[in-house]
Amino acid sequence: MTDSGLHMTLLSQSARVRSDEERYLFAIRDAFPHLEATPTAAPGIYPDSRPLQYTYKEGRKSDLFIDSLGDPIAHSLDFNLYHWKNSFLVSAGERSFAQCFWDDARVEVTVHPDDRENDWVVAHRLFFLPLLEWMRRAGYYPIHAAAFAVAGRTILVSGPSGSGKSTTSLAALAAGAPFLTDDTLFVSRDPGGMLLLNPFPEPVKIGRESARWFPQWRQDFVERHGKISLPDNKLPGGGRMTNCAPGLLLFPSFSEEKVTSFEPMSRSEAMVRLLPQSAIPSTARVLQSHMDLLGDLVEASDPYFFRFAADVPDLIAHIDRLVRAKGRSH
Amino acid sequence: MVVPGFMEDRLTALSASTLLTHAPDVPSRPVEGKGVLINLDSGHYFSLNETGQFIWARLNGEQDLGAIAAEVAAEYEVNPEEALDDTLALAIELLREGLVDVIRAE
Repeated sequence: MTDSGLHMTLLSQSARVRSDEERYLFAIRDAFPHLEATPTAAPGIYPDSRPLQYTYKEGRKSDLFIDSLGDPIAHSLDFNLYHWKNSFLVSAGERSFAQCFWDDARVEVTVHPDDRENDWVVAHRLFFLPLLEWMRRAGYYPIHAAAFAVAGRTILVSGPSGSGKSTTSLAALAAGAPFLTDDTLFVSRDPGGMLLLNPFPEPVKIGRESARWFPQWRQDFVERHGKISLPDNKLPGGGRMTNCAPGLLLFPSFSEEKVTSFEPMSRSEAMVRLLPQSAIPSTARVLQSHMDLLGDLVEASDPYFFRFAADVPDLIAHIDRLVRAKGRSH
Repeated sequence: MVVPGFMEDRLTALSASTLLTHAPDVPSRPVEGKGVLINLDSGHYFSLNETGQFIWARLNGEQDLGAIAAEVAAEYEVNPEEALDDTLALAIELLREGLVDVIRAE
């Protein structure tokens, strides 16, 4: 008969990808400029999510009540998540951590003075992860993906950092495609049970590797010698799409071929690829809800391997042809 | 009741009358007949092919491995002995990875 087909992957790897560092600095520099702000999760887009109250203090682990958790502090800068009653502890190294109290929407962030120089520790582990967890508990489940619309269908591009999400996003922006996000979105349900895709409203970042394909940003990039942030009012149509329905689900990789190509993928394969891009560990109940929504999303989408070649400026034209061909085949 | 202390050296003692159920902290989701599972304790996730998902969906503490193997044999048109061997092999893997609990061992 067949083999049993049990395959194992380390789930937490995707959350440790260091190259996203710049993205998470948003959490401090834009939303929490003094590390004492009281932001909403995403102003104006998520009206039914309660504000998450952050407080910040310097201290050592003895300052917090953590004895009941045993000895959870990892001796590395990798993050760890712990649940205790209805609280949630994120540790980053042995000295800095965030304790989240969901009943009153409160997060206490404790950063050791020696770790303050490491923005990555503070921004990613201690601010962004609680924010994502809080969004999940409010019914918005994160996916590490870019999204935009082509020929009337929403295009999700999901993959690890460096797989091509940003480059594809820039191609969409350059083509004037209605835009949702270049890196993170949230999937939710409306009261009628319909799946909706919602943006994480951080500014679009244009980096060196992606900008080289697009002259309109390349010059700007050279002048500034750094990443460009594109504010929402510079997006096609003057802002982001919201409340989009799922459409095509693309998993990108760079190809040695001259022309970009697409290959249909099974939905079960798509689920296996989407899961590590999305499902940060949590309680079994939260993660089950997350997996159910991801499964529904995959089943509502048309998934493809997306191998893009050196014809990057033509990416959206290729996707447009795919969408229209898909429409004709229905 | 979950049988405590089911040791590694007893894995091979699984039999047709063994009763298993999903471990409590293992979220799972079927997609197009296949499946994905996460073990929250270890932080690993797993994919199941169609046969694996067929068996996983029946590890509910109500059917023993022999009954599940009989369904496998009927569904996939294989002989009962081969179906039981495959079902036991998957059960051992799932048990080793902490994805199922033993309700009745003998």
